[in-house]
Amino acid sequence: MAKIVAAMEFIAGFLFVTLLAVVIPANERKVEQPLPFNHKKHVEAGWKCINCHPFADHQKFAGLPQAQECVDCHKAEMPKYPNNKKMREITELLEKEYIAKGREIPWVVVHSVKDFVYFSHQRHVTLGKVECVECHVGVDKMTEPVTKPLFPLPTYPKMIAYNQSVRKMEWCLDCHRQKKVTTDCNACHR
Amino acid sequence: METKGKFDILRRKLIALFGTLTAALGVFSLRRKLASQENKETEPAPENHESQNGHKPRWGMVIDLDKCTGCGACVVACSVENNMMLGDAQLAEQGRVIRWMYLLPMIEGEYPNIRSRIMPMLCQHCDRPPCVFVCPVSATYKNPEGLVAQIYPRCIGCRYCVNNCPYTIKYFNWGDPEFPQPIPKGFNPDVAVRYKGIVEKCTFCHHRLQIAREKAKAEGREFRPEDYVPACVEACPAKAIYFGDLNDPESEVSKLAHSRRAFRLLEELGTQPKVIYLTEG
Amino acid sequence: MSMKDLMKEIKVNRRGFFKWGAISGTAATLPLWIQKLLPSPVGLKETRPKLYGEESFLPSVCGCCEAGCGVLVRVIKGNAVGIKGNPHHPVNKGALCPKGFTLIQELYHPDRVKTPLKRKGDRGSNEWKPISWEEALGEVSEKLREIRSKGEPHSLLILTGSTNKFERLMLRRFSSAFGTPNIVEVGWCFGQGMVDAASAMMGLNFNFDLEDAAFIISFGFDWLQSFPSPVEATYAYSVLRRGKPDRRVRIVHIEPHLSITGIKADEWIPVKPYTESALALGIAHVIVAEGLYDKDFVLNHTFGFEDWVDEKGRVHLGFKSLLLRDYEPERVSKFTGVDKETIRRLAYEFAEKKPSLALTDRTRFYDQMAVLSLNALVGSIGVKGGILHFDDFFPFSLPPCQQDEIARKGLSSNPITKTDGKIFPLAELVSEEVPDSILNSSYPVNAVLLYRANPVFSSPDLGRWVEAIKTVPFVVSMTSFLDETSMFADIILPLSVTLESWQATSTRTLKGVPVLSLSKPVVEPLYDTLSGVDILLRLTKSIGGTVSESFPWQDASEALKESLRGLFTSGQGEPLSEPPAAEEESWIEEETKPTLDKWFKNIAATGGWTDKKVAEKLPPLKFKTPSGKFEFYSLTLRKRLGEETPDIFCLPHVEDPEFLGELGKEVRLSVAPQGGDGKTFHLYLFVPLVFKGGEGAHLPYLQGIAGSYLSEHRWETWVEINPETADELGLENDEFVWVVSPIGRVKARVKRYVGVPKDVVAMPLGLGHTAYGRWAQYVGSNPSAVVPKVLDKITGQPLWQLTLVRIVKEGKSDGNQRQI
Repeated sequence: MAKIVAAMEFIAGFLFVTLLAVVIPANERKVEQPLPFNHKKHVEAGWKCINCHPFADHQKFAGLPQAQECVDCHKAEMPKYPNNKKMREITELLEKEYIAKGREIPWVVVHSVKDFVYFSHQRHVTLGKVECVECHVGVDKMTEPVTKPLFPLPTYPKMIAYNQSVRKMEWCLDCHRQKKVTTDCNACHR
Repeated sequence: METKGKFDILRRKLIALFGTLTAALGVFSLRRKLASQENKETEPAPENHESQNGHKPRWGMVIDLDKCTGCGACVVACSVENNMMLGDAQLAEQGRVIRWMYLLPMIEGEYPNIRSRIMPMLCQHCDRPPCVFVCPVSATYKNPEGLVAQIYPRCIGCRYCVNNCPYTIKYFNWGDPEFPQPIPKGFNPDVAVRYKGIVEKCTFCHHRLQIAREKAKAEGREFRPEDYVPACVEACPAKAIYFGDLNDPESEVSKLAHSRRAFRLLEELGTQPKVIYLTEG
Repeated sequence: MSMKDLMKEIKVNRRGFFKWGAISGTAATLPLWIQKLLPSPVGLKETRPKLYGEESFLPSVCGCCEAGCGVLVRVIKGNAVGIKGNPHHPVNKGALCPKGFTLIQELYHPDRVKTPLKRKGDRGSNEWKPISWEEALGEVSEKLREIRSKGEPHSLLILTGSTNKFERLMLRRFSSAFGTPNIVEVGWCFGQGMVDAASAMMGLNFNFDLEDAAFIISFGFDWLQSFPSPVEATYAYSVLRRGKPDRRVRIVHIEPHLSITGIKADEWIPVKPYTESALALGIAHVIVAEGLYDKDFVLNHTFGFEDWVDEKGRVHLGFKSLLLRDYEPERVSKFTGVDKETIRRLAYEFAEKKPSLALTDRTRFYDQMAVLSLNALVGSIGVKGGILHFDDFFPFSLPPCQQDEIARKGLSSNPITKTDGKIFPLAELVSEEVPDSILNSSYPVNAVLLYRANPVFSSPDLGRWVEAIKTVPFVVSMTSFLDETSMFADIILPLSVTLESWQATSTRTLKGVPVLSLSKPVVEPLYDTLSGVDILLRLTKSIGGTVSESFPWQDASEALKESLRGLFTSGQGEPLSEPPAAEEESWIEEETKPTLDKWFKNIAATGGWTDKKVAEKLPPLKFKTPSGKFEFYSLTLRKRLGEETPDIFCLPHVEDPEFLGELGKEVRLSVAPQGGDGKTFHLYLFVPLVFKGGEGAHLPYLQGIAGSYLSEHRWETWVEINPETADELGLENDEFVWVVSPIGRVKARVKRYVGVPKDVVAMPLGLGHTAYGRWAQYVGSNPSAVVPKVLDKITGQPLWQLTLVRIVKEGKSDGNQRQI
């Protein structure tokens, strides 16, 4: 019995400190998106990534949708979903809060690279012909909006894993090596 | 006494246990590293899309001193393009204001028989760069196209390269640059901002090359060397700076580099600089 | 030892296990703790906004100087992030001078004035209260209405600094509608060329056609740094040297110190300040004496070369007689220190290489006349590669403004400075006389409106301006930065900077091609500021009456469009490049006739308008002078100065007792102050390119370039001293000294420089601000403080190079640069 208690106490002490070290930074990483966007629903409705992230094929950044685009499509598609109360609510919210007031939707950018890295969507999408979901794994199946995870898992799929920003150069390099594309430092670091 | 002995054994056992765990963790993490080392053996491919005709460019610059008027437009254009530190009077006093390109005066003689010249001075992007030989972490290296690159995240700020460069055009950031708001709004988004502890130098506006290549590909045409124009070349009102591919015998820089007026700085050191100056007259 | 015993031990020390657990946990997560505590390494500090948006290149006009170069600004999501020259603009052809690149820094400068301000403390105390536009404009218009109602509209003094042509038009219109004749331009005269001589001798504007000259000689004119159009000067230099494979033009430069032009020239001839014209006339003497002059041009297109007889039968001295009488090489050589052989050689070179060009700056009037007549002697007027004469290209025209009785009365009163008869005969209003008029109460000044004007910095003997402005009851300053003069204002109306406002200016290229540079704002105003013209429109609406009726437009773009109607109807010219296709109108049935609206939009979208056909034919040799010809003997001057004036005052000559005898004793060098080391020096002042116009010191990227021929990266005012002189005075390089003149002293850093003669010291103008932002304040010192106010008798422009100074040692450099 004493063994068990002692062990439990050891584990308690260990976990207490460990959780402190992990939870505090995790709280800082918490990200709230302004709208409860559901990727899965939109993908199932037939939308392609490029429709809402329009700059992906000709600019460095893919772009994020603004209120006007959402409302335009919602209004056009509303007749197809007459029972969808949520859709109506969202459309009204967008119109009232954003378009009427001239505000931009303050999306929090989660997937990004550091300042000293040059990443161009155009290069990968148009020239490299990389599919969006190859890097943004699982985004098309997400029902919750994109946020940063609480715990930065050391997961080792090579791309930007489900919900994480690029933290390791290794992710990019592995794919580059596989596809025999340049691994010159100067190609990405500027 | 006995208690002590038992404690010793307990302590030793615990140490052994933790030691083993640590060693195991270490080996585990290194294993991944060792595995990736093998991949490094493969030759890093050059920019495959680009050198389709098998011809690798070697970028060089020619500055015609007979056309240059020392106006300084190249200096300011470079500073604006590359988010240069601003500087102030005190830093200037200490010689710590960084300008990747600056005007070097050379004035000799006695009044009134004076020989004088003003030379724009920038990184010579040597073919045998002394800075690359001494960098302990390969933060500066010469890429296959001849550009001597500086990779900011790798630099540890030892300043060995700053000392080794015979042209003294490598600059160390002794302090964090101050950019009072709202100056960061005007930063060039294509160029990183350097902070304390990093060495920086002219990059021949490499970011413009990346963008030009991409643009050419996207428009479905071949990348032409004249699409890649560094900021100083574009800015010069006298059109005194030429830039292009030294490996192409038909390019303007190649032809000018072989002119009878051409000379390079400190050639005797064997650095093989790729910035060629044309003397006056 | 067995497990059982171990457990017994554990049982005894159970309490410790939590502690052990905690310690192990800390050890295991140590990296995370360290990461939190250490300062973040590179790149983790993200200080700039992430720019996600379309990128576009929008045209604008650099407003830093009169040249009006076209720029293309790279705008991403409303932020200006890059700038380059507009390749289609005829003036700069895709390049820019250093000042043009700093437009972005000016836009995002931290020390801009962000809202209208009202003075809270005493004048000059720099205490301000932010107020709203309604309040500010309300107060200003109330004061102005008060002035009008008292019947004294002429007591409003408008001082303008750097303005583009359209702003100048609107300000003049305002002064006209308001009823004040007192609209004065303040600012340096450096870098404008021989403006006054051209207006007296030709009656027209002029351009130096540098590119096609065969020989260039410049008299005291650092034309590679101070030129009306710096980009064109630099480009012309490169063409002169390398433009044609078989031609490399020789350039001779005559100046008291080895400036950048001297460094780039083939021959530098040092002379004392203000003796360059003697050399010019010496050369002219040789040309005339040896018969090398262009007889055809002189005979058919000039007046006053030979002696002439007026309608009353009196004989007047001609230029030829004056030259032959007074300016033999022997005498000139003694005066200037240049030996005779050089004078002869230059004369032959100048006359034989055609077309040759002599350049000078806006110095003393008669010096300008001397150099311009040198050009005329060899027939370099109105020919390719010489001095081209043109009408001023001013395409802006508005219907006449409405004037009521008050305005008419005000306009007919005397202006604030006297300029008739013998007093400044060729000046309109003399800016440097303004403080004296205010101080000796000879003229009522109830309000001063400053428009980007900074006379407290740019005038000689600047204490007068400070005193004068302090006595004016109401001072309003329209400016983007709090400069020295604005410190004494009561209300500050903040101006939007170049990239935030409509820009419109008109120039000619050096070849005479007219260019209208026009652009709309490329970014939204960052702060609560308005463009100058918009402020004027609102102000006039508040004032009401005929003043308001004269400005019926809603905003600046409307007024601009209206003013260009004349150019539109003329049907000439074309936009700078192919205008972008109009999206909205493409499916509407277009009228066959273009509308003003559409034409205006196209012009603004490409950055301007030009008419390339103009340069193909040179204008005829007809001048707007009383004789219709190029006048060596200026009849205009004679008329203004009076019939009895001695002939020599209408001819080019050297204003020195040496050549003028009794008549010349008014012009003297200032008496050297006592003290120092007993040695006096001529103080030679010049303006580096980056400080052109008095602006530029507030931008850090420009500061390191001034004086690039001396040392690198220095932000300071220096004094160039000949090394031998420095040895005699015991001065080391980089040591601080006081430069002392009769009226004051400034601190400067010694630069031992072989490029100055032994009795001359040279200092740059442009630094030494006491306000104007963090990078300009207290950096360097302002040599204007030691220059006494001496004005040219004919033009009223200040003469900067007449000061004699002494050098006083200060002590070792301590890095402290406070201006005294």
